[in-house]
Amino acid sequence: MSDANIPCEQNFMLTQDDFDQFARLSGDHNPIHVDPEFSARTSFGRTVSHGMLLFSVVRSLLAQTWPGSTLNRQNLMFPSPAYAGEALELVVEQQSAEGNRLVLKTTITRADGETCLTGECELTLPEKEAS
Amino acid sequence: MNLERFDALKEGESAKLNRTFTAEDVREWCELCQLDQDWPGVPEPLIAGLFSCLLGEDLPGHGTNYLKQAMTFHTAADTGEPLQASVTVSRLRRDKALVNLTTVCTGRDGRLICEGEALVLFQH
Repeated sequence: MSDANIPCEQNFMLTQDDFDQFARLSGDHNPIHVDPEFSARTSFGRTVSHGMLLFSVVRSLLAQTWPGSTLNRQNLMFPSPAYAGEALELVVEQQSAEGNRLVLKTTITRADGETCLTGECELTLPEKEAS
Repeated sequence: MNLERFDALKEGESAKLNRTFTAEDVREWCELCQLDQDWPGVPEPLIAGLFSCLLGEDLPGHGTNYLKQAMTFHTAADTGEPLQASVTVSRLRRDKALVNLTTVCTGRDGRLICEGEALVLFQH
C-alpha cells in the first residue's frame, strides 16, 4: 500500500524572497518575517520563516511522494525559528498505515540540530487503478 | 513577563478575515515550494496561513509566538470561492501566558473547509 520511499528526506533552504512571497500569498506581513531591520532589534536578531511556509514545504513533499492523496488532518508544532539562507532538512516517517490511510511524522531540523517543525498528519491515498 | 496586552484578552473574543484565492495564487504557491503539479483547489497551507495571519496581525497580534496548530480538513476549498477564516479565544492561562484559540475556515454557503485549534505564547 505505502510503497513510496519511507522515510523520505528533502534538504532545502529558504530565502528572504520566499518569506516575502509567502507574506504576499498569506497576507501575513508581520515585520518579523519581512523586515530585516525591525527583526534585527528582536530577540531572534533576524527575520524568521512563517510557520506555514515550512508547512508548505512539507505539503509539497507529501504531494510529490503520494500524488493524488488527500490530507485529512495535520498537527504542527514550531519549537524553534527557521532563518533565511540556512540549510534545513525535512524528514517524513511513517507512524502507521491502515487500509488506504497513512499516518506520518514530519520533522524539519536546522543544521545546528534545533527543530523548526514537528508534525503528524493523516493522508488518504487514492484508490489504486487496475493495472 | 509583561502581561498588559495578555490581560486585555477575553475568552470568546474573535477575529475574522475574508479571502478568495485565485488560480494564480495557487500557481505561485506551487512555484514557491517547487511543486511541478496542477493543484486541484486551494492548498491546505494557504488555509492555515489565514489562521496564522489572524493570530500574528490581529488576535492576539504582533508579538504572538506561534507554538501549535492542529487542523482537520473537511473539504478542499475551490479557487474563486469566498472564504472566511476566524480565530476565537477559547482558553487563557495567565501563569504561562498561553492562549488557546479555535480556528475555523468556511467557504460558500458557510460550508466547513477546516477546523482546528491553535496555541500561542503571548507575553509582550
